[in-house]
Amino acid sequence: MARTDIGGPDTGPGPGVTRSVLSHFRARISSLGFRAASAFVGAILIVTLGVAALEFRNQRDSYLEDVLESERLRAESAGRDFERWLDHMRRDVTILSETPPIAGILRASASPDGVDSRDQTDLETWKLRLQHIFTAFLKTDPDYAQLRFIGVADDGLELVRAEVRDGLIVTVEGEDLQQKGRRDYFLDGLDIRPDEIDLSKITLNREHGVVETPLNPMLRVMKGVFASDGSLFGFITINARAERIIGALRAAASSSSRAYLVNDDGDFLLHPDPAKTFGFDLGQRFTWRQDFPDLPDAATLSVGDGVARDRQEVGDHYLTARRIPLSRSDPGAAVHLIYEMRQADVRAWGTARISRVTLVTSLIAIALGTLVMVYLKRLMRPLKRLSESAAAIGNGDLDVLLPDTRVQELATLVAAFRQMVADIRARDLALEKSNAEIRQLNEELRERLEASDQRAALATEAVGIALWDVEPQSGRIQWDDLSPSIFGLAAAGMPGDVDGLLEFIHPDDRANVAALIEAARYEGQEFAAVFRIVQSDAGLRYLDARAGRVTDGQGKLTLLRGVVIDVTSERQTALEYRVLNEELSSFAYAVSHDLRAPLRSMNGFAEALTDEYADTLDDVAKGYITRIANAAVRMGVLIDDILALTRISKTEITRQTVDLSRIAAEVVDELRSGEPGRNVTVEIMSDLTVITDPGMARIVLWNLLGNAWKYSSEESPAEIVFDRVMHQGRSILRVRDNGIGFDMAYADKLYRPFQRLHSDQRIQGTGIGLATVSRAIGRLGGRIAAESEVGRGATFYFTL
Amino acid sequence: MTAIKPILLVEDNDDDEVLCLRALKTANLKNDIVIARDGAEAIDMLFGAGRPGPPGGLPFALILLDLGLPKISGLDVLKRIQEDDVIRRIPVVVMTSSNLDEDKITSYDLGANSFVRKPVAFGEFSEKVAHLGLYWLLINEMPD
Repeated sequence: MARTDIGGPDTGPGPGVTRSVLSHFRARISSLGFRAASAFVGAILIVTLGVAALEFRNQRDSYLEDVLESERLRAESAGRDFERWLDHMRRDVTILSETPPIAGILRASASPDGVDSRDQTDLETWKLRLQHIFTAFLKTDPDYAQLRFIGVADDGLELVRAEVRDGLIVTVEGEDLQQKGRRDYFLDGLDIRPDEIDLSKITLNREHGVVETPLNPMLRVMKGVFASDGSLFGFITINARAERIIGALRAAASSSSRAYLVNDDGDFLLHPDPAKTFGFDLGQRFTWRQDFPDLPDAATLSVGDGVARDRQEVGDHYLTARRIPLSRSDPGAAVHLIYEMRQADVRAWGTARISRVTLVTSLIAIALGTLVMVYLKRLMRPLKRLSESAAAIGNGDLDVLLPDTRVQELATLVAAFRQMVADIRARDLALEKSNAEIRQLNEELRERLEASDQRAALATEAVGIALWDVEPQSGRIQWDDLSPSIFGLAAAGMPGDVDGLLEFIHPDDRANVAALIEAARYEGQEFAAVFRIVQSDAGLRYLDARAGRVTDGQGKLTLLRGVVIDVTSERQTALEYRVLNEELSSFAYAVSHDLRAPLRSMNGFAEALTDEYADTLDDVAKGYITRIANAAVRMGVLIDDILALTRISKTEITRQTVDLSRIAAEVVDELRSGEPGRNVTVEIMSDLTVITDPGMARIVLWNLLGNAWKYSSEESPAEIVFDRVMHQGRSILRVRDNGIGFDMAYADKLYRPFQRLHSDQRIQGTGIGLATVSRAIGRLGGRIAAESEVGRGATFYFTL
Repeated sequence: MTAIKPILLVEDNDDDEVLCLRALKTANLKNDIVIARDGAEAIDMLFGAGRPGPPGGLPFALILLDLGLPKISGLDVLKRIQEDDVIRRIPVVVMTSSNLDEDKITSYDLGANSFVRKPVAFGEFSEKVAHLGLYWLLINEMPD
């Protein structure tokens, strides 16, 4: 596996543990997952705290209001529960006092034989039935401790009694029934009215005169049972445990309030400190006044009948009080339920509550954030591995494992990554291959270069190229081994510097060369000059010397280096060529001038002969003479054409926009005027303009249209078309006629001088026209092609 | 009406001379024709001893000048003519075989009044000479 070292710091695990831990931590906190989760948690925290702060400011007072209101509702609700409990007992005692066994007992007691006169049930049976009812009541109400039916007669003897002892319902019969005629409540109850229900004070239960422990506060409910004559027969009493209801009152207090139940005497029945309750039963009183000397009496606080007083603020206390009457007949008998709070507590409680809400919210936010972080971390794991893989790939390790993931985007990413790795691998291979190829090519190149160097050395020697270096500052010249032979000097005789060289140069060339070397040395010019050198041993020589600039890193000229070539023979050849060319020109002149003169003579005297000796010459002689005259004219034409052909090569080309349509029209006019009798239809496309040499263009059109004119002479009407066609995106000019055409088999001879494809004597031609056209088009860089069929006209396609 | 002045024909080629005279005759011109066979002779007839007519005026009505001449070329003769303030007033028609633009341009630059190429076909030549005579000798007006 080829590794491409791309440089940069080593990103792999380093040996330094501290650095590793630190960088790990940095990597962690800079990871995408951590950042996302942090941002999320941070956002939640900020929002939560912001809302809480706002809420805290705005809602602090209304919290107090809420708390007080809820305290009031508590007190009201608890007081109502207490009253409902009392009502419940009043109802029960009423129900019990009116059950059939009571009436039965009354009837049976009134009867002398102790038997109910209505249904012959005896007294004992009625008592038993009442006992059953008592038992049922005790079963259904857990607060009830004892139910009794006490007779007024026989010193207040209990007639029926049922009670709960140690959690069991027991009935008391016979001798176990007690006489209660001495008890205060019995004596007090003797004047009870029929509609009256008497509720006792709530006191601690005593067994045999001793307070029962644990303390068992009791309430006694009593209703009179009256005989048919209206006299008091006895009482139904319910002894109920008050512990549960008092506990409920206590429980109704909030965390910042305290519940108190105070009797008319100011003694506590309920106090946050249980030791302070029922003190009056235990020998040491604890009163409201003692605890709250600065507050009004409990009775004063709870003024009102059954309706909880609105909250009261006294000092730093908030108080909610409710008076609960125990007896309807005795307005004085009541207990007072008071809930008391301190303002500071309420405020603290409100603050605590807000703080708690804030705390909880924050905790939830943190928990949520953590969850998100964990989830994101899981989510990011493939991404992290992907990035590690990317780093590994960056280090050239293409064998890394890429994570699998079910997250769609990541899966796409991973797939793309796999593709990339595959591509890189492929490219690596290709690169390696091409590297090898390049190495091989380099090697070949180097070999070739060496060979080339050798060849160059051989070549310079063979061709006669000398190498020279000029130091620009000193003007010193270094010559290679070949230089003396080029200069025709001994090695020792070679000029050592520029001044020395100039002395060898022909005086006519010297100033020019000096200026050029000067320019090369000091003005940054390349040096190139052809000059003659004067030597003693080999006559005049032409040398072509060139030198390029060799510069240092800053572009400063350090050396002029180049070659010197002996161009004497080329010069001589060029000179000879020039002489030949001039000779050719004068030859052309001579042809034009001198060769035509004899032709004129031939024609002129032939004409004179037929003219002046018409009488003596017969027709045959005249025919011969005419042939001579015509031949002379034809040769004149031939000479003109040859001259035109040679002139094509000499004429200088100057391009400009040329209106071919106009030129063609002029040519046709000329042709028409030469043969006015012919019937020729000429069609010239308008606006055929090209950029070309106007003279050449005229020569081309003259010849092509002239040919078309000439070779269609047998047709009537002859048709000639000059237009333009498009072929493969290029516009091509076309001259077409409907003349005799030519055989394509000889098409290759069309453009050769003196080649005529027609033997028809009626059509005159020198065979030079198309050669001229071809040469002119060649000079213009154009092309020409012909298409024809014998008897069907010819078409010439060409570009200028 | 002054006397009809002669035409100077400068022509070295005998054949051309004959043909030219024939053509001039065909054109029915009344002028005498003086012939110079080379450039030197032409100059002598224009400026030297061979000069015809009274001194001071123009010696010829028209000069028909060939260019390719022995001794002194036609162009040099033309140049010499131009250098003379009087002689230059004589119309000079260059008649030559040459068709070269250079010759035409030089001729005109040196003051030639016409440039006529001698065609091979005599008929054509004859026609041209007739036209020339008609124009330069009959239509055109000259100072004495």
